[in-house]
Amino acid sequence: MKIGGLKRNQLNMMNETEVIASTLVNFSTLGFLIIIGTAAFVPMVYDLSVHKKNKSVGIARFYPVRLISRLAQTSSVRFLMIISFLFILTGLLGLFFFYFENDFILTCALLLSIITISILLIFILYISIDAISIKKEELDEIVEYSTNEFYM
Amino acid sequence: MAIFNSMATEKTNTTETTKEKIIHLLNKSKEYVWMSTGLYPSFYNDTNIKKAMVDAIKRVKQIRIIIAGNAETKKTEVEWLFELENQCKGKLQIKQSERVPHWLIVDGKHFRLEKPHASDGVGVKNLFVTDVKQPVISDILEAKFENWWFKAKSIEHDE
Repeated sequence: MKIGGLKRNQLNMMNETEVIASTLVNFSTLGFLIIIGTAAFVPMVYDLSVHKKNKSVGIARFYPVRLISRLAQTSSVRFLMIISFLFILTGLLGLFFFYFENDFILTCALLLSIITISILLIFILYISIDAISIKKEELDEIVEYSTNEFYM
Repeated sequence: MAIFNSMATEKTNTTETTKEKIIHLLNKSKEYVWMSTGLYPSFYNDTNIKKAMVDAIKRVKQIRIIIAGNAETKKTEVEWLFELENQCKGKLQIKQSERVPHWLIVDGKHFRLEKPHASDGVGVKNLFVTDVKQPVISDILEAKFENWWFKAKSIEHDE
């Protein structure tokens, strides 16, 4: 029996490189979906929460809020878009391997996925460390001066 | 590099130091200036303040000013600002609102926050915050100002 040009026993007996290519395609699809989802939804949710009436600067005391605010910045969104593009490229190279059966394409896909993951890791580390820096006393002063019930 | 640099805050308690710091903030402007003020004439007719504001208008893309209280009387008291608004249509926008805190926001990075005071005087208790690195602080302060801006009324101009 033939399925899409391949015999059933050919489907069952994928060689090692095909397994790697298949894993890469699945992995990059998942990566693309997660990253594009983060880039699309985090800024929207963050923006809605910031524009809530009488939101106090005091929420900056919480590390997750500072981290999400960093992630929602335009520069971060652009960066995540580039990462998701790299994931698409990795997936495509993985699919091309099945078509052309050229090991060089698989090597390129593997290298690209390593580069993409490394860049993503550095980015996550950067924003995680950057979100730590805040002086409690300075933040307290800002909260004190920006609280304006007197006017409302 | 932003890492491990937080921001700088400085309090002022006199009119002179407040004036100096406001000029300093205005001179830092590159993109936009948002200001809510009582437009106290003796303060805003000062030569140095006027120069800093005129220079800022030339430099930035947008200046929004919310005048707290009755803007009609200010038209004659701080005439130069309204003349400038006519000259720089669109770039300099002035609105009026009942009661808003007197803040100055420069490029979303530098802020002047003032404690509430009587409407017939200059507030002296100010906090100046420069180089805010955490976006959440800037975003919330800007969101508050935007809220006042959209609630504020336009000023009718004499033909």
